[in-house]
Amino acid sequence: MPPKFENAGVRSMYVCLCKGITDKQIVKAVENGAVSVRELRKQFGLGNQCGKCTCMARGVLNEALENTSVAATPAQKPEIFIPGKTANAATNATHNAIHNAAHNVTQSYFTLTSN
Amino acid sequence: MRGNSTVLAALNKILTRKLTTINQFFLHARMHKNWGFEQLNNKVYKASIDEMKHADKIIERILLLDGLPNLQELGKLYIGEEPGEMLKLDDKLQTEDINHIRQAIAVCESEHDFVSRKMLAEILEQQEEHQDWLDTQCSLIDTIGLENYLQQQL
Repeated sequence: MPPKFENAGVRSMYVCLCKGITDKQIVKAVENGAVSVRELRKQFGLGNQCGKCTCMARGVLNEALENTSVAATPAQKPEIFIPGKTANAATNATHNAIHNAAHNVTQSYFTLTSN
Repeated sequence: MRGNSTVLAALNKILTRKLTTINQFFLHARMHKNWGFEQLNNKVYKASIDEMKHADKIIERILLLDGLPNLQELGKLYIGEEPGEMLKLDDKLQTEDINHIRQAIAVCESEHDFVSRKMLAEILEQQEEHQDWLDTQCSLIDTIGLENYLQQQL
């Protein structure tokens, strides 16, 4: 019986061993507004030591962004036009960035690199 | 004896994977031990030592072929946070290792290095045994549940 990995959502493993950063911490950071690996680097120091985790961190980040953007869509659905409450350009830009990042997900971060 | 450069590159690639697996298994074994899962510790520790013996064979073979074994390169470790996840990650790594050894065997075959091929085939046999054990553990966790499984590993 092959073990089930795909579509399992959040797992519990260390992404960055040098700093002891788990995938859960990254997902949490995304929930708190992180959208790039650079922000994760600033926040955790992730990828500063050996750099082997950057690829996987990007995968976890993209997966988390995809999940949060899916979760965010229903909340934005009631598009009732309220005068004086026009869509904020800045939030639109962020939303586009999240959307683009989600489209870049080609494989699960769990896929091992074949070097 | 001057070895074929394609074979040497393939052997070095397997060596890198071996060195990575040694470390992942060793850390996982001692994490199991730290949590009191002695059975898991024994099994995974032994697997790590076996990996080390494989690495030794590959290093000696590369040296015999007048190559330079690269012990500096190390792949990414996949370290889990809890026993079930750790076994799954070990299984995943082991499966990838096996695929790479099979590819390397094919390279040795095409380059007519039959001695390297035989060495890798022996390593592959032991790899498959450990993979089978890991598969069994993962399916046991699925069937009897993680708590029941871990109770047997004390």
